[in-house]
Amino acid sequence: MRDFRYLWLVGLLITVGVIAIPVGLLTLDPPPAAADPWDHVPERVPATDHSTLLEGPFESGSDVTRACLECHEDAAEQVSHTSHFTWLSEPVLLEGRDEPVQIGKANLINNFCIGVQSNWTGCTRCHAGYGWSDASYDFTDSENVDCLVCHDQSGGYVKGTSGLPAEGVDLLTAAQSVGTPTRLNCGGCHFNGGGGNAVKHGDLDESLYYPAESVDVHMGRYDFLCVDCHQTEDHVIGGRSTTSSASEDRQIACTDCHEPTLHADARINEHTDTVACQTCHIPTTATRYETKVSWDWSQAGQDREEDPHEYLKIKGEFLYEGDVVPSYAWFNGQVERYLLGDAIDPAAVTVLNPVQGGIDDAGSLIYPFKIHDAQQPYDTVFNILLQPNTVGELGYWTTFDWDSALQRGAEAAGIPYSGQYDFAATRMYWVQSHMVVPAERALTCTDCHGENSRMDWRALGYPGDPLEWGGRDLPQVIADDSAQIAQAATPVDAEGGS
Amino acid sequence: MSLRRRSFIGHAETGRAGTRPYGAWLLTLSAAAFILAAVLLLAPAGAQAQESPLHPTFPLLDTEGGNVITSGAPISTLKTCGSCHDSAFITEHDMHAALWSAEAAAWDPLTYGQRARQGDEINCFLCHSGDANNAARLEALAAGEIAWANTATLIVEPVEALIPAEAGEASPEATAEAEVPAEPAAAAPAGIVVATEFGYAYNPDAFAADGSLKPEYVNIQDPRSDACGSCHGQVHVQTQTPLALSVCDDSQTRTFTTGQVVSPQRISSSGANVSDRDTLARPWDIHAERVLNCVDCHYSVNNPVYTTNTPSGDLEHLTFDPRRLDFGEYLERPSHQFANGSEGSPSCTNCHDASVSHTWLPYLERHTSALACESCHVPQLYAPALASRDWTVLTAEGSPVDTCRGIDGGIASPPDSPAAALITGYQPTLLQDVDADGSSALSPYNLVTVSYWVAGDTAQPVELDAVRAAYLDGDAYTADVLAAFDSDADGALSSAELMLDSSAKTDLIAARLAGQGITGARISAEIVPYPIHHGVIGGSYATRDCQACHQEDSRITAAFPLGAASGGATPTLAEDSGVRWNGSVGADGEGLLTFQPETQTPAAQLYIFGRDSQQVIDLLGVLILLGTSLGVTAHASLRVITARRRAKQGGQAHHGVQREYMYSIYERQWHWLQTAVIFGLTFTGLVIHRPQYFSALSFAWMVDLHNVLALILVINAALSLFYHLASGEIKQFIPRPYGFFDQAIQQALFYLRGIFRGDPHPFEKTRDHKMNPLQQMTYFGILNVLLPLQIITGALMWGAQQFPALTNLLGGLPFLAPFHTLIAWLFVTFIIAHIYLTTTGHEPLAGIKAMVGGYDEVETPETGAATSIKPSAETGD
Repeated sequence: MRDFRYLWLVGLLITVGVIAIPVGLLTLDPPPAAADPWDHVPERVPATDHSTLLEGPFESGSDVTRACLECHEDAAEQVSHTSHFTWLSEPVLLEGRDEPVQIGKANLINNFCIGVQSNWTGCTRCHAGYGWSDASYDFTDSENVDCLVCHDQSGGYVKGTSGLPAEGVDLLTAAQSVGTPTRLNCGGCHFNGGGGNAVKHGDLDESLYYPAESVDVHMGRYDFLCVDCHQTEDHVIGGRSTTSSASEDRQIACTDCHEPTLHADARINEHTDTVACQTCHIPTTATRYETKVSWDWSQAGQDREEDPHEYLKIKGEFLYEGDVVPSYAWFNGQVERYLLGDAIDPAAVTVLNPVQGGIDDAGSLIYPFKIHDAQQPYDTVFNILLQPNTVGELGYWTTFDWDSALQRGAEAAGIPYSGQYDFAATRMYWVQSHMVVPAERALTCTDCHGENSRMDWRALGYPGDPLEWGGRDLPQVIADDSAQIAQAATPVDAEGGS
Repeated sequence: MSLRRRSFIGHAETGRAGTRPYGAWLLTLSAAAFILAAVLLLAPAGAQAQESPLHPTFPLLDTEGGNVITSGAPISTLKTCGSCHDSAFITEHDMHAALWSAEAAAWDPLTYGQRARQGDEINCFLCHSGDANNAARLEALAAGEIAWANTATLIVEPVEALIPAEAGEASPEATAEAEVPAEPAAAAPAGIVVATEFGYAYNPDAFAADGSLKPEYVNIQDPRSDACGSCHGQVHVQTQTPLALSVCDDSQTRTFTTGQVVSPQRISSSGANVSDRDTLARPWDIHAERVLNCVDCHYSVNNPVYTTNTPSGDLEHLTFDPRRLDFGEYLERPSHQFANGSEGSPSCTNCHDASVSHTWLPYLERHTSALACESCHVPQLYAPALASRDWTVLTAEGSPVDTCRGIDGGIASPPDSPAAALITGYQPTLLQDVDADGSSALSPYNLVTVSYWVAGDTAQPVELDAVRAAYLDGDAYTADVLAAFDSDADGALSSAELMLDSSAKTDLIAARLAGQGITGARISAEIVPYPIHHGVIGGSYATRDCQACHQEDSRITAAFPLGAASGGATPTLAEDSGVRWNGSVGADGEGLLTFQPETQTPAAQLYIFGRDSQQVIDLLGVLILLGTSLGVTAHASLRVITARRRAKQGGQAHHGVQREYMYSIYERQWHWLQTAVIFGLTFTGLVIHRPQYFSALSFAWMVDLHNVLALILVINAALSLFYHLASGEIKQFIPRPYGFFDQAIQQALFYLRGIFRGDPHPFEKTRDHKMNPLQQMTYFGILNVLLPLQIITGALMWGAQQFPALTNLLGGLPFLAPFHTLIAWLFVTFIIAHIYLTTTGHEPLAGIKAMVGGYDEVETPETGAATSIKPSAETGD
């Protein structure tokens, strides 16, 4: 041993070890390195300049699509299977139904403009394709795919009736400008859902084109594009709707990038088992533009003073609200869905998309919702909601004749119509996930707890403010009672869906 | 807009399910929702208060026990509440009553003794009515309607609507409720009591046929935080309305004296003109944010919900005693002695376990024994606070002249309106708050300089009426006062003019006092500390940078600007103020008064690592170190020069060398381990000693590292001692008495002379005799004196956390720490010498190589004159 030449190396290792091990074990833990949410944000690929690649001339939208397909051979094939084009989901087994069904904008009704069927020419202005004007539309023709609506960066591309380029659009300029879809591309349709700016979603409106950080921290402070979160692969765009799609595939979550327990404050981290991020981080929505909270179709057709935010003869009466404090409900990600032909109880409020969950469902969190109520036509004999034809020369918006509009709509939608109709109350739940404000503007304790609470704790199934009565994991003091309350309070109970 | 928001909630609750809101229906519903929302929102402001969920109805009785609705007499709270609650017991024990009783109200320079109670009954309504009207009560007291004061508390309409306009303007916006925009007074009186131009009257609508209050008028409840706030300071629990900050408003007592504000609101979303407000996302007070009410901490001490003082007394085997007051007994006789700092103590540690949340903080117990939680958790006050109050001059209204700190970055006169000033807030100073048991911890305080006239041998304060008479004739200044003070001759005295800044003015007022028979009037000024316990913030915003305190510019010893005393006097530090004054009053560079806290006063006994040091010791250390370095350098230079000269002269041949196994594996291992550890200790110690030069390094981690390295050092030293004892190697370190001094001198002469001549080493170095006499001497000193001392002092310093009694017995940190520093300097000095001496072998790196590889090349005895120091060696003596 004495003569082992590198014995000193062993000694050095021992010395280092004898020091490093106790130091590692005994010194205080350094604060754990926080996971960096930017790791999950995709790097944007710089767009190729197409101005020299495309020479035109383009007579129609399909001409442009053909030109795109010369290089991007698979693109139209990819797009033609996405819900942006089909307006239908893959077949899914819905809660309370035996057979998987394909659902989507193409065959559902909502409680805004009600439904697409028979109204294609008006609705398909926002279809990512060309020429969908009736039920016979060819979804397999790749030249029907509209590349420009998502990729135009000239700002001059506008769609008109049946999704065709509007009169006077410079297709060549639009085609040469193509690039990564920006907020303007997505917002053109999604910020105008329901027929106009801010009408439908509450958390999506034109204030998000160029938002202040106080409106949306991701897009305002960090200049996010929609597709930074709605990440896209082969034209399949991440994210889902809770109103027209029941599939949880491609669900996006805050926790895709953010640790749920990232708060420095342990008390706040305690909440993440019960409360969705959105609940605290989206204190109000419709912060810049008022959103529609109620639509009464039964009042349509009168010659009254019109105001787009109060009354239109073609649509009826509206209520709009700004800076909307959301309604809160348990939600586990699943929704039921009212399908055409489902019976309703006209005396009750029919919830078109009952969100699933409850205090006793461990997978449920409290989420913020915008609630939209409506009075919309139903068949008093068959007790089913009706699909009116509104668009077109024979549609209600021209004739103001409900009977013929409902007749035409029913034929197009393939549902019976007895000729007897009235208006029934319906409700939709719109989960609020955008307009996330900076952490320093998120809700604080007193917004939900204590005297000035915005939460109706008993309606959520708690015996009282969980700050005093304990959370859902604690033994409920009045368990039986609270269970009943939960049943009564969660939107599921409206029984419109099945 | 909040009304609209409310309407949404109301609508959702009431209107949606099952209704068929055809047009008008919808509008009617939403209008109803609006009204409901408005009522809900404005409920705290007045209108119709919600009925008490628990309290039964009761008749209002007068002092004779008759129903006030028939007698029309003022309400007697003792009779009314006393019909169920033991009002005699409550009055006897009530802390508020005791504090306000005339005999207990000691002269307080802040209020000039104007605090004595005015004979009104204990006012249950003020705290327990959901919409108590303190402003109306104060109006009644001011109007001399003492008996009606409690009754006036039940007026619901805003006081401005009911009293004459002039009085309304004069009344301070004393209640938090007054901030809420009020609805115009409704046609029908909303409260039980109304004020009319003929006096107070009862609202017959509030009473049922049997003379009891109708249930909807019974709004008796636990005291709300804003009820406490209506007297104690700014409390704002409304989250919908932005807080309007009270700025230098002396009706908001605690806010006025300290800048404490209790509100759940984020500072950034409140309505205060606070500097950098947008970045202050913290709430004004974290406990308010976390939905605690004042009475959650300041509970009545016999409240069975909170009480931990139980009949079990000190029985250690019992953690809980269920034999306690039940609610009925408590509700009959709530003591109203509220837990506070001295009584029952709502101490932070009642609820918080710092050891769980402060795992990042070394020496937690040491910190928590030396520092109150508030020291770090109230790092800054964001509202202005009083800096000085000068009673030696009076405004035309007869009020003192104040200055406030935290305005425009310093001390300034109160602004004309809260919005007129940029509120910068202030960092409180830390004083030693002395507990009942004599222990003390640094706690945040505001210091207020109060000046007032005193006279007589015992320096009794001059009656305020006399001071008023000295300045004012009615409500105007007298001509000679105006002549002396009104420097801009505008006929009015501004706050800049209201100042005794010349002896002429002072003499004039003294003379005018003398004219009233008060001779020998003179100015007294004292500094009064006001403790800070609210406005607390959680960890994210608390002081958690070690170097906030542990460095030269320590926050603990930061000079605290003081408000000026009248007449330029140097104020004295108030005695009996519950603090130990760990500092003194001085002046800063611009001649402004400051309080300069100190750490190493006999009373404070603090030694703050990184800040405190004994300069003598550092100086001495540097000198020794420099001297040694110089000596070593000179010696080395001489060696080089002489060696070259010898080489040039052809010199002597090298002494013959032979290879010898000198150091065993263990000896080498423990040596190098100790080397690494000592280097580490020296460096981390240096960082701890002077952290400002190493600001990139985590102070806390350096402290930790130092401790762990010290532990390794001690264990290594102990193992090595065991080895040397067990193996007998220890002998090598022990000088042999015989001939030791001769040998030592011989060795010294070698270093001083022989080494330059190329003489052989005087003593043979062998495996069994590695050390020459000088080395033996040195190592004996190092290993038997310096090292143990350093270990002991270090352990005792560490023990300031673990066994503070022993540490304090042996001098405490102020003695031990500089001692430890001194030895560290000596160690460093030794290391330099030690490293140099390793080069004095037959060639410079031979010694170090030997300690690495074990083999040394030593001069062979045959060729050199080296003398063995073996006992058998022939040394010639």
